[in-house]
Amino acid sequence: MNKREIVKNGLFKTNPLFILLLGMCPALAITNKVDNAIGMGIAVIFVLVLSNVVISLIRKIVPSEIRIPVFIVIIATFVTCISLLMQAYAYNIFVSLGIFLPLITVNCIIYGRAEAFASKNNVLDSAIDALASGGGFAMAIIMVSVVRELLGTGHIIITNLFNSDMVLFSTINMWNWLGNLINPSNHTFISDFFSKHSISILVEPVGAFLVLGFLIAIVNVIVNKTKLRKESAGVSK
Amino acid sequence: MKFNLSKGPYLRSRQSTTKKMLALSASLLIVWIASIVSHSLVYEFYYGMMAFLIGLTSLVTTFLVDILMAFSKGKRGKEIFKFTLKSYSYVTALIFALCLPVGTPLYVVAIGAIVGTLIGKHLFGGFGFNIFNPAAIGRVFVGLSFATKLTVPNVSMYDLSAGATVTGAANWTNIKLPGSYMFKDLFLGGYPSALGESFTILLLIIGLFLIITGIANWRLMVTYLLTISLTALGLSFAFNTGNEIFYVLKHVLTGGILFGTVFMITDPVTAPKDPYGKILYAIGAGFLTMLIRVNSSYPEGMAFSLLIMNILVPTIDSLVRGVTSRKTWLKYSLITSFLVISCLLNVVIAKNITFNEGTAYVNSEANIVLRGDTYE
Amino acid sequence: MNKRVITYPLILGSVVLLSTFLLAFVYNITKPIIEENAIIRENQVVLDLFPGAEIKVVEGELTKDEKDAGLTSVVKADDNYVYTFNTKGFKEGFVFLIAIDGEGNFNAFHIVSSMDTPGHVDNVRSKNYSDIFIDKSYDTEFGDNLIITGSTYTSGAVADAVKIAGQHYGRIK
Repeated sequence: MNKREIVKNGLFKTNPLFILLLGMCPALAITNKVDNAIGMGIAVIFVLVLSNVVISLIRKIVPSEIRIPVFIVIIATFVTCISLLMQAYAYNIFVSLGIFLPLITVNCIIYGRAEAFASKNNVLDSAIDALASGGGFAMAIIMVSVVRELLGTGHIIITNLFNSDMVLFSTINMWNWLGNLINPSNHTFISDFFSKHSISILVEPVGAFLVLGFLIAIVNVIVNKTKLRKESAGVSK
Repeated sequence: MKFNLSKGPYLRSRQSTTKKMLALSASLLIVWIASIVSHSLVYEFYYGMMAFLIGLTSLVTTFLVDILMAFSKGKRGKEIFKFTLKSYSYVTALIFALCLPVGTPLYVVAIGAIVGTLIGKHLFGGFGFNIFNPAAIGRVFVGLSFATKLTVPNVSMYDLSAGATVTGAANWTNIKLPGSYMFKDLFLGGYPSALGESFTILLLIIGLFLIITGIANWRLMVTYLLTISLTALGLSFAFNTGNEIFYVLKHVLTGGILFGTVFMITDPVTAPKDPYGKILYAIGAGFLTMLIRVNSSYPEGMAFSLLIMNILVPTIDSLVRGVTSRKTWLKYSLITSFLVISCLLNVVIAKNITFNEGTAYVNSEANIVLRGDTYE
Repeated sequence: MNKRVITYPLILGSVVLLSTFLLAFVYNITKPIIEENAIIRENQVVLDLFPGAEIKVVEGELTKDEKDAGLTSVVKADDNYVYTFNTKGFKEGFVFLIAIDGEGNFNAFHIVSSMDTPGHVDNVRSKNYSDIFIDKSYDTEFGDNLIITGSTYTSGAVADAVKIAGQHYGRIK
């Protein structure tokens, strides 16, 4: 397998959330804010890359009979590391992720990649695969959270992970800037309109199921379309 | 000699689904017109027009959704029209519109209608395959998302706190109805409520008509009302409200219960198929309705209880398979014990748990309103 | 004798050992930062009430009554004694501060978090309510004055806390 194919597989073809339906628990539970999704995505990429690299390094030493306990120890170690690091440097994200941070230990994506890829391939390929799969997962949960936060609260606010007071991006500011050009005396009228007409149920757990279901449906439609096109192209050749 | 057996069913009723649905929508139309008239008389002409527009918006939106679904299923030309007719979405649209209060913004009506028909019906495979009542799905979605926007004229937001409009604005557990109301108002409406809910005398007549013509199942209606009345009676005795009959009538006639009894719980698609199962289903729905009404922070539980019971329908169906035709004594004793248990459980929970101080049933302030002083 | 009986535990053991070293390393790096942050967060609320004050922890064991009433910490900000309560109230997680100044008068009341219905919390949060005990001496008997009908649980917890804070102040004075 060449490297380009690995990246393509991880991000799109076998996207962990949309195609393989792995890691559903965090994807449903913490995607009510874009901030949380970014934090979870980074944590998963961190654990996935390190555990994949280490497992790939020791794949020839570890006999297959005891590989599962060895994987568990390695993955749990890295998860504990990142949860300690987050508690120290990104406390707000640590609090809002709550129990779902330690639960990365039992995330199927990480076991899946360790078992299916890292234990059979060399270090560089494993690292690339981890980045691609983790990236695919992060991309997917960020997509879900963007839809949920935008429709559920009427705005998206992305803050610096390490300093929650520092706002990196906010649709409120954007609308206020635009509102200032149109009507300087009441420049918040656009953002007020959006927050007034938000569908608050989407921030609730029910909304997670609805949004994820619709996104998976859309992705499947696209995947089927491209498959059909490729098949028909193959036939005409 | 060769016998040719055609495929079942062998017993054919003269009533077709289309005929039933037409009768149902005619009754809904009457309720709609009545609500338009009563809203223009009680409030002003503007609200009558709004009542008309809410129904129209719901109808148009569901038709658009149907056409879109037909199009995505690859139907073209005349087939689209056929598909739209066979989905019977006008019934869903009218039921959904009639359980909204008159102050609902039209875009909220449209969103609820889209969610109800698209998620509640078409995603499960269209008419006949939906496991949840589409109108109830739309109502709950709208109620949970836009609780503050479902308003009734002349009732301030303060009175409607705690999302008081889940299926009926008129609830005496935490709304003090503005002004005083006569006993006849229980039947003729005139107090703040959703569009189709308050004109109960009309609903009773329509319910009787639907039962006599066999369009709606009497078991569902009667058991549901019986469970609620018994529970209300139990609560009345347990809390010494006095005037028990009046208290029971208030529980049954205000809020969304009668409208739900006539039009929602009788939905043949989502109810169990077995007569005995239907009775158990209605008892469960009645129990949950009273549980939510009395013991939770939501004032009305009709739509919620219906959706919860819809989940349990496959379980009920498999539990009662073949029971209908035999073991009569067991059947009746089970039904009676379920009724008694659901009544007692509600009373015990209400006595022991106060989920929300202030809105809870046992709170003394709420009791003053419950005694019906405003009605006499 | 099978060789695997020795090699497998050895491999597993060494992996566990290496992980332990890594964890110990990360733990030692992050521990002081986590502790420092915790103290900053705790004092932040007190600093909101008394900006720029110097904060010291008041030493001494809490009595059983005080613990039962939900008193979690007592700090001294300049001359003011600040009592942090984490009580049950209507529902677990009702956190608020009560402060007594150097002359023995209640001078601040601040609700950090509450799980009760917002309307009931607002009753307790209102100035009318805190005016009942603000600027009164710590040994005043309030009785039922501090209990609001309708918000009984929430205001009851505050009433208890005011009594306990006064007792504690009297004890250490």
